[in-house]
Amino acid sequence: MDLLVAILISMALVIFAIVGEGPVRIALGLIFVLFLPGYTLVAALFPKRESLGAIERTALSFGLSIAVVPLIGLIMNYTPWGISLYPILISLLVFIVVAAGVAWFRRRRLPPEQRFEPCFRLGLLQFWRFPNRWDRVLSGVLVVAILAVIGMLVFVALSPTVEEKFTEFYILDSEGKTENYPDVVISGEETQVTIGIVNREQEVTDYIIRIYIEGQKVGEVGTITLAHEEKWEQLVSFAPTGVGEDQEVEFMLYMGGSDEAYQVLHLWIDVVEAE
Amino acid sequence: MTETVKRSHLIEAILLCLILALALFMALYPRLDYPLPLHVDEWMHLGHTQQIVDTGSLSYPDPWQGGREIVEGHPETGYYTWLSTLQISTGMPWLMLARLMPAIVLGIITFAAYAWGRKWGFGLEAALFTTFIHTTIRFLGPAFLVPVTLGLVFFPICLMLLEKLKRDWIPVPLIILSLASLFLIHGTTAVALGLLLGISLILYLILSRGQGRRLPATICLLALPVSALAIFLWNPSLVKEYIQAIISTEHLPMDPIPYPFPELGYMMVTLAAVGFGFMIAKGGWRNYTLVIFTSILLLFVLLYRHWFDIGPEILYERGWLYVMLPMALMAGYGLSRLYHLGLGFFKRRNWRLPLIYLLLVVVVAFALFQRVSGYSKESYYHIIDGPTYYDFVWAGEELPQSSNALLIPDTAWAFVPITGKYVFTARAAPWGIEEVIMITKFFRSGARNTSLLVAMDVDLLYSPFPLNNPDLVEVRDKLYILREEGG
Repeated sequence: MDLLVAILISMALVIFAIVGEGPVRIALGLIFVLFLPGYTLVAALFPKRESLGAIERTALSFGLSIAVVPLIGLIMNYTPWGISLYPILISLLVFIVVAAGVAWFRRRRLPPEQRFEPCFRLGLLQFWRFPNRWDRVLSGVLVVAILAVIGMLVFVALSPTVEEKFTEFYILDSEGKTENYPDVVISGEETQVTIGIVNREQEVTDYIIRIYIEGQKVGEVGTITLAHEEKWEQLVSFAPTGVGEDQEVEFMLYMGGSDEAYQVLHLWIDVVEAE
Repeated sequence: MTETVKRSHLIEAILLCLILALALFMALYPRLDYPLPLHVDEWMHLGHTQQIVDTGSLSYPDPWQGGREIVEGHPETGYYTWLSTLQISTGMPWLMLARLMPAIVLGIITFAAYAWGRKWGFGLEAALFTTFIHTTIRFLGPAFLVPVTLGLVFFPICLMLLEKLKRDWIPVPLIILSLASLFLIHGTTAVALGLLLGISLILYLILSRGQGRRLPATICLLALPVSALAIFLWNPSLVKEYIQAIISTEHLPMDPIPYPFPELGYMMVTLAAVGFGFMIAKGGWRNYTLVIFTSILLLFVLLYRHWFDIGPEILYERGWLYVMLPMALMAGYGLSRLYHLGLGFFKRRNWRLPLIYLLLVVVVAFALFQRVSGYSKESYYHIIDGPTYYDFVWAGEELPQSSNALLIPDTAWAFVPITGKYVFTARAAPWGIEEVIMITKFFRSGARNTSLLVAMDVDLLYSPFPLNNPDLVEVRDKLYILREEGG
């Protein structure tokens, strides 16, 4: 039964890995890599109940999984398939299935009373039915303790996020990429860049963008009001007037009605006369 | 109730769960207020692992040298293969992996210590003090995503397997397999485990006459060096590097590491000393193994400055980690023995149990208080802050994959795993100070030398100082790209 469950969990992981990502794949993947290779190996090598206690068996399953997985990865490195999703999943699955098969075969050769079989005490899940109050309390505490461990793991996995207050401010080219920023611009003609703001100030914030060329204001956008985590991205035009090489264009971001620029981005353009 | 679960088992299960929760808390403690990897090594391991996942091979361009060199035969390959397999199988985001795995690994070490100690009647005590193993910037530790921590799992596991050698051959290949794998994960830890196993097997052969089979232990002892073949076969040049490292007289330009006893807590240290004494008094190969192993390592880390002057100091500093695990097991043993002594001492008093339980709670609470206070005194640097993290995320998403970036070399460690791009160079203090000064000076002067950037094959800069070069576009705060025609 336990060996069948091990194989089913492994196969379920392969299916979830094909489908995509998510918490179920993470949970199955952790069991698949951290526990099952060692568990099936221990089951194959110690088929007798008396050889190992359940707790030792569990601890060895974790430890031997950590020993086996790097060696399988190393072997995969020397195959044409390398260390990638399907070769890794299939090689580990093959190891688990083969070890489980050996374990099943060796257990079958033993008298039933000597075979190792895991014993799950599901009765504990109905702890409120225990006749003694002290037992009910203890069992309840155990359930809370188990939930505390699981809760800690979830907390570790999901929290916390960056809580500093700041604003992301960036410029892209007119196509929203970073490849063709304005370089040579004709005087008097409009040129465009994409400007983006992401509010991470932990509150609703007002922004104004002002564009200067060589200290002279050539454009303004705003007021832009963004909620926390809200993103604004838009094409913005400006037209240089003076002619000359290496003219400094400044994109100034003002925040919350302040007269002092919060962030300034720069690019340099050559402004030429129209032919 | 008694038919399904015995009450004592129930109490033990509750306490074990609470200790495992404590282990998770301890591993999480340094990063409670910071979601990103802390130690420069964590960023480095993530970056190497990412390269393996991206290329599908253990030979890949070194992302911290701009891809100019190929990483081959890395001494911690086993660790990277393990992390790669974990990430590939779970599909877990890299930063979640960095945050979650130290907690899970410490949980496994704690559980393995419990499983080993339980057989001798002090499983919970051993598990409790295993959660106390300290994490610092200098000698690393279980709160970091580092191979030395993963290696600690093998100590209680191999101690458990050793117990089975009395009756069975099967532990022999498992011990050799574990040690060989550990050589590929972290060579130094494998040497420490080899020492433990060697001491243990020799003592078993000497002291256990007539108490079990001797041939499996003899074969295991003789086969221990075979496990090191894994690393020799994987990369023969590493052997030369290891030997050179061991005999080198390199000194770190840093203050000597302070002894970590205050951070561990004097209560735990005292209990470990008590356990040490009880183990000597009780004798037997098992107890003498821990006593001798711990003594050798303590001599190694405490007295090297006076007696030895070879080998990198970092080896001695990180030796503390290998001392702490047996110390934790001894502290558990000490507490357990004191408890039983107390029971015997007051055996005719009605109030003995409440008193002893009260004392037990006081001792554990005091040890825990000292330990958590010790943790709070340790300061952990942050390689990057929140805004920088989002700058790097943006660079990873918006800029071409082939970008090669120039950053202040210590910040560069975090750039690679977050963006998936290469950096010109990355250095961590105290190494590479000259490069840090040179690049800082270059940024401070406005990075005006475009031809130098082209010669360095750099097309992306992340500068803490404003840059004043018309060939650069400041696309985001501190983030500049070199125009193609800039060259």
